[in-house]
Amino acid sequence: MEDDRDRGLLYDSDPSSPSLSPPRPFALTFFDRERHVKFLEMMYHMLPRPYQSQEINHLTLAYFVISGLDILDALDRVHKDAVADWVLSFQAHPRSKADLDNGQFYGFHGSRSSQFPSKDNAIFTPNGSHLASTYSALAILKIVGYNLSNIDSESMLTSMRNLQQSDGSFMPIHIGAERDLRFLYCAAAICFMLNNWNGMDREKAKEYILNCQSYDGGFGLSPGSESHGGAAYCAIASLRLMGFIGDDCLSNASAPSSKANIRSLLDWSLQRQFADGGIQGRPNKPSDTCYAFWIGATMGILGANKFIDEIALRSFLLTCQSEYGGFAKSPGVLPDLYHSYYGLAAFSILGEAGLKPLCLELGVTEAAATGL
Amino acid sequence: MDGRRIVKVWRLHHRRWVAEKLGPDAASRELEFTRKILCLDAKNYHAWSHRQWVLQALGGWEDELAYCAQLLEEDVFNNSAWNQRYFVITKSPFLGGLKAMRDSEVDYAIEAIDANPENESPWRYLRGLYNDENEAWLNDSRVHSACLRVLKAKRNFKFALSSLLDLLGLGFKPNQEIKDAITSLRTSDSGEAGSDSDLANSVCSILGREDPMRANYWTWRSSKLSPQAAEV
Repeated sequence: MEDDRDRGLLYDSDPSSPSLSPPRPFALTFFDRERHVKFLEMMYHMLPRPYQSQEINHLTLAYFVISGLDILDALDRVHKDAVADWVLSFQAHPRSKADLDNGQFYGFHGSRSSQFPSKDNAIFTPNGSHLASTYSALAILKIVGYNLSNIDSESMLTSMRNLQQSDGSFMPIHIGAERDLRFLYCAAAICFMLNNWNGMDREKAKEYILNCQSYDGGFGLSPGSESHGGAAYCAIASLRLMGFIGDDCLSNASAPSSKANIRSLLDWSLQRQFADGGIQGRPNKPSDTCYAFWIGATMGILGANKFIDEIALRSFLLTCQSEYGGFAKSPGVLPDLYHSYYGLAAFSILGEAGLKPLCLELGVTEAAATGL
Repeated sequence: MDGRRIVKVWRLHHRRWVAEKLGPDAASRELEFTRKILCLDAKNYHAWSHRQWVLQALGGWEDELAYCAQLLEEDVFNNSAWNQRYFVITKSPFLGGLKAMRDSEVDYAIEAIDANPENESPWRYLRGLYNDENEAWLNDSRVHSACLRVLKAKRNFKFALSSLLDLLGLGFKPNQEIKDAITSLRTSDSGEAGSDSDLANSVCSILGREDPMRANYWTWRSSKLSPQAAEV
């Protein structure tokens, strides 16, 4: 119907309601790159002021913004040197070599409050750098073209080993009690970006990943946990980064090197695409924008993204596109940075014109991953 | 990851740290705590993770199977409850393990399938009960009988078909009734289903029609068929 160049907007106003009532939610029939660039630019200028969230740390929010702009091929909006300096200011440095034996992890803090904790919340605030913020930091540095060989990676990797448990899993910080696939993924990505596997025992990590495969073929975040789209990504991307999955995965679905049941993962993952075209994270749950990336990227790594109905998925994602720019988790809801980033990443996987292709297992553009 | 998280994750970590210090006495309190969260949000991922950690670290398994049954009565589509059920029957020290529980659990899953064949959870659960014991799965007549019942009803049969496809791939020899049921679902006039591999191909093409979102996948499955194709 509409030409893609036509910037007409569809307002679906309810004929039975009075003319003063607001129109129904915004619905564009095309991917509106400019709108997303403006949204992320606004977010970029709001850094480093906090985005009031306790769940997602500051550096991770910055990663969503910077990587998002990179995917949109709008990195010129970013002052790369300033960003690199800002990120580097979060790095934790050991005072001496002796510090490396104290069990702490010397990576990157997630926020200033983590870096300089107030004495009120000394017990509850993570005291020390965090694997997720370290992943985010290194990813941002790669995106803005910072030379990672300038980083003290020896301390980081040596101390990162302290975070790996006997079952192969990773804690995110040295005083954390939780451990799951997310942090294992961060560790693998960190080693990959620094091109140095001294930071972890890959064999043990692989063992833990395989123990996370559930009875239904999917992966849970920890052994016994419910299969979940995000966990599938962490599992497969980690195996890929660590070198346990090759390009010929599909034809070798029972390749002895990985021992993961790829066939049943494939079947489980593909059933995650729901009748509305969107992708759910678990059976019998609603579709959510972010799983278009978590499941879409997993399928891409396995060479199976042709099995996803891309037309239907794209339609669903367009209904989650916000008039403010960015994406919401589902239609009619306000956008947030997390769903915006993964919505953009999903459009890149779908081959949207003007977007840069991704290095799926690393979570940055191919250009950033190869350092070009 | 959205702003309306019910459970602040760091509090769970703190609870875990405290509970570890207190020992098994903390079990019932922690289980009650997660039960309250699950009352509001029966699929809350972090609450379920915490609950599993409590059971394994501190105990309290006695009522867990009953709790799963209760949740599934409230919502048989609750995949988290199905997952927890699997966790309990395999790990509870009071139940004897998967093999001991398998027989009654097969019946339980099939009852759920008969009531709602479109529900993916009990299908996956049923398959999971056999794990990698393919021979046992092939030889349990309740499994293919359930598939047949669903096919004959001619509604919501995509999981019945894909289960049969998996069975055929492992060397399952279907009886005439099953062959007829599949044939009657075909719309194309490409002749009678002859060999089993023709049957498997028929299943794939019916699936391509019934589950069109995954049409490319069913075509690919068809291309991967061979007389004794092992799934894994």
